[in-house]
Amino acid sequence: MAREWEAVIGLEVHCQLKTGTKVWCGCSTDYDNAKPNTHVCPICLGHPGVLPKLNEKVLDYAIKAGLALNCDINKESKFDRKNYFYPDTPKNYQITQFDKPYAENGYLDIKLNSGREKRIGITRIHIEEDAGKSIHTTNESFVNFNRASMPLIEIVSEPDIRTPEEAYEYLNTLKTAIKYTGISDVSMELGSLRCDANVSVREKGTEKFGTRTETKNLNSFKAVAKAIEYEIGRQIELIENGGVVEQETLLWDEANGVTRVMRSKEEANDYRYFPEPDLVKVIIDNDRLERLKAEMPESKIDKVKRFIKEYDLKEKDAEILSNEIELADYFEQVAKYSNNSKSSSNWIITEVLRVLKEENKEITDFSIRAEHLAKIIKLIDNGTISSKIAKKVFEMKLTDSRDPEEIVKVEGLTQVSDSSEIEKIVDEVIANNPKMVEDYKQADEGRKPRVLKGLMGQVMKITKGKANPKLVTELFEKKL
Amino acid sequence: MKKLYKLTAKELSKLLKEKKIKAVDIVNSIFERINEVEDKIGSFVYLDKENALEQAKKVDEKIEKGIELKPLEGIPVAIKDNMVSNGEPTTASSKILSNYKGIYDATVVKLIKDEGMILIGKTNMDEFAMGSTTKTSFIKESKNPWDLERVPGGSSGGSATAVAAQEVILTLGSDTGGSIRQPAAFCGVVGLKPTYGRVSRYGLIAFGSSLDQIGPFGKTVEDVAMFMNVIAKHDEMDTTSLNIETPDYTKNLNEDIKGLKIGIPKEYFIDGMDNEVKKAIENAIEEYKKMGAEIVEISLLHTEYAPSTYYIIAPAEASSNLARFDGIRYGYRTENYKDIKDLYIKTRSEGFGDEVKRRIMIGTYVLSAGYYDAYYKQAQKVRRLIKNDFDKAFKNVDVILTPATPNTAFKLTDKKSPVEMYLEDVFTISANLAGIPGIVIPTGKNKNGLPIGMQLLGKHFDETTLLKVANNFEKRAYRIELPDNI
Ligand SMILES: [Zn+2]
Repeated sequence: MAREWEAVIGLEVHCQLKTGTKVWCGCSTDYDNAKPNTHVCPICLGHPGVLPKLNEKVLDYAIKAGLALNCDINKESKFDRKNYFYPDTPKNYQITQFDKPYAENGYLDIKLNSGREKRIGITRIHIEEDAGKSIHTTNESFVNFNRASMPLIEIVSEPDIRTPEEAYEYLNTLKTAIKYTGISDVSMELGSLRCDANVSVREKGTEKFGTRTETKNLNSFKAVAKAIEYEIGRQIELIENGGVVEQETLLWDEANGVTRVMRSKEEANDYRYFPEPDLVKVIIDNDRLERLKAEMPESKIDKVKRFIKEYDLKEKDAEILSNEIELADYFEQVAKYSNNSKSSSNWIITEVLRVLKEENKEITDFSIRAEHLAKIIKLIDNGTISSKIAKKVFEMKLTDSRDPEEIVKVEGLTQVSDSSEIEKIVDEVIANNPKMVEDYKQADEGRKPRVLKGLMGQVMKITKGKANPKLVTELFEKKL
Repeated sequence: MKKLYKLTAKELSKLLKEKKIKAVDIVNSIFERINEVEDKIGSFVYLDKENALEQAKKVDEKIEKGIELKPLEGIPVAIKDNMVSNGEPTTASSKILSNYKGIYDATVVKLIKDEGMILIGKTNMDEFAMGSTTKTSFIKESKNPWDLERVPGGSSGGSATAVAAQEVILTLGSDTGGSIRQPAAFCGVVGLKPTYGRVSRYGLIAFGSSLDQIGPFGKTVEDVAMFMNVIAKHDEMDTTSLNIETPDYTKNLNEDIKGLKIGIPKEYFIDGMDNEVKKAIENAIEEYKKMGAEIVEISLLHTEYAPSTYYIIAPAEASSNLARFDGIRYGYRTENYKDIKDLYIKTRSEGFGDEVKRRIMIGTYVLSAGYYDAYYKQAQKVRRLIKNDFDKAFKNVDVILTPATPNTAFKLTDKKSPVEMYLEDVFTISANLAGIPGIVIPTGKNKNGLPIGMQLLGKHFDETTLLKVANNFEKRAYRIELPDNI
């Protein structure tokens, strides 16, 4: 019988904090389009004699991440030096937290496609500094230190993840939770989120972990899932063929869909960790913790619950609307202005998200303001326009900044509710469609509405959809 | 009137304020003396007379306008070459920084400038403050002004000789295991290592970060106290700098010390200690008795472990602190290399001297994965015990009196093994491990006319008592006359 295998996966996620200034100095972290080495000072360049000083905002942001991921925040933690020579590491050591991180023992609940929920443990979160960036040309190398000393947190999961799907969902949920706190852009594309995957396999039912590999260079959530899948397959095949998994650091080769060896255990660095003597202990007092707790925005889980209760939404819709804090805020605004939460939810989920997906945009870049979408909904609700016209107004609004009311008025899209005008048209339709009229008269009660729909269609064609459908129905019923 | 370079900061400041002299006169006198003796002594690695005169002129203008001077305004000062000053060479006496100029001011440099003191240059030192003689300096060897065939002590040797040879009025040194106090003892000047965290280390090229402390050298205890008033300030840039109020260190200097308890640790009177040194210390104890102090025999149990503890922790931190000198961003870079690894190896092999390399290797070894627990962690535990010894002792005494060094200055030609050299610091190291302040003052001379130093150790942040006890000795029992003919 073929042996059954199980993967054991742990993820290490680096997340860049958008604190505005670097972790040990006052240099700006906004270096995106800046020239190389323009956001630097003696401290982040590691010049002789400089000392680091912890940016208090970094600590605040890091604590918020810890709270968002249900961690215990340690009242006392410390910084350590991780020593290794690398040209983009100005001091040739990285200041990080080794054996006493500021946050530990957290968790994240993820939901799988099957609907099953799973809790993934978070071992620890620690604060550390980023390195600069090396740039190599054919015969020269350069280093850009703008990124050096950027504040990072490293979120280390427990080896609770079993499948690529779980890894994918963990990252999604983690991203949403962090993004909710506003401490990071958490974007893999922008480099503010980076992930390494530790993968091992073992025979199902055994307790002992197999030898793990660490895969780096994963630049999208999909790449994480793909790399893990590849690595699980590779390890199982290796073992089944009598081989042994080596403890190695691997690189994910996206183009070829394979992992490659970066360095083996033998080449591994001895980081010579020791307590950073230039920084005092990190003390987090209760006042600070309470203040940050008070500042924490509502979590996604709480928001979903509230949406269901407060706006009477279906769970699935509440989930979709809460995926991004900005989208949730948008929904709440539309619901508030329109006074119709159901309709607001429907419009956003079907129309707004469709457009965003087509245009590959974020809700923050969406062209229709919440007040305007709410107005469109209101115009339907008060009978000014039909929902068909509303869709037309919505499409126009994508490129038209005018108030929807103005568009409806100027473009003459108002529903015709003048009965004498409609009566004239109804009479005209009755006169021009004797066959349909006859058909209607002969039809039994069950078939009548269907025939009426055809007659209505004629009216709408003439009025370009502006006739008030309720009024038209009433008139037909009266006349026939 | 005596030549101006012979005066103390206190005396010069008084003359300046009374408009009897000009700051320019002081600077000229200083440089006259430097021209006369520097070739023989070798205190300085960098001097800037032009700039010094410019600064002096500004002080004189202030005096003319009737603006009140700060206590040390117009007083010439030199700093050890491991303190960064903007736009000026800062080499830590190493080849690897031989082309380096500071791109900012160390906090002490800022404070000196704010005070209006006149920075005349940088003093010689052992490379990256590693050594006890200044012999490891890449630039030069300093000589003991009392006997040019002898070492001045290290690593702040140049700062000690500059004051002892009367080439400048005040200097700053740094003390990681005794680097201020040992040369002060050898050169017959006053040297203070303040409490760890009392003076900002921002801008001090780090050797052993948890041990390093900047401190002053002067001709008298009072000068040193005045200088402490300038440099002992809380600094936002250094998180290990303590945020507590700075007392006026000159205020209690002349109070008597009747009833004050002086501890004498029996572990500090070791075999192999020079007899004349021992005698000088015994004399000092007698003098203190005469002044009404109470002498208490105490025990600092773990003293014998201090050197080995120190020679694990200091190199461990140094190996990491010195990693940044790699030829990538600044400083010396090797001429030819084939790849990045080659660049690192050649740059560092060529740029560092033997003593520095030796300590980097020791530090790398004691921090490496297999040995961390056996060495570094163990050393941290012993360090804690040494601290506890002092805490216990200071429950019963106000200060502790010890010899500063086992011997007086030895000959430059004396061959000592690295381990023998490391034991030179045996009396001074404990204070760095415990973070407590220590001052060394002259207590007499031996039959060869070489100065003997005594060390007073104090409670954390209690430099006031140390300075008072030292000043009483200097005023009532002994003050050394610095050598004139060199
Ligand atoms: Zn910076």
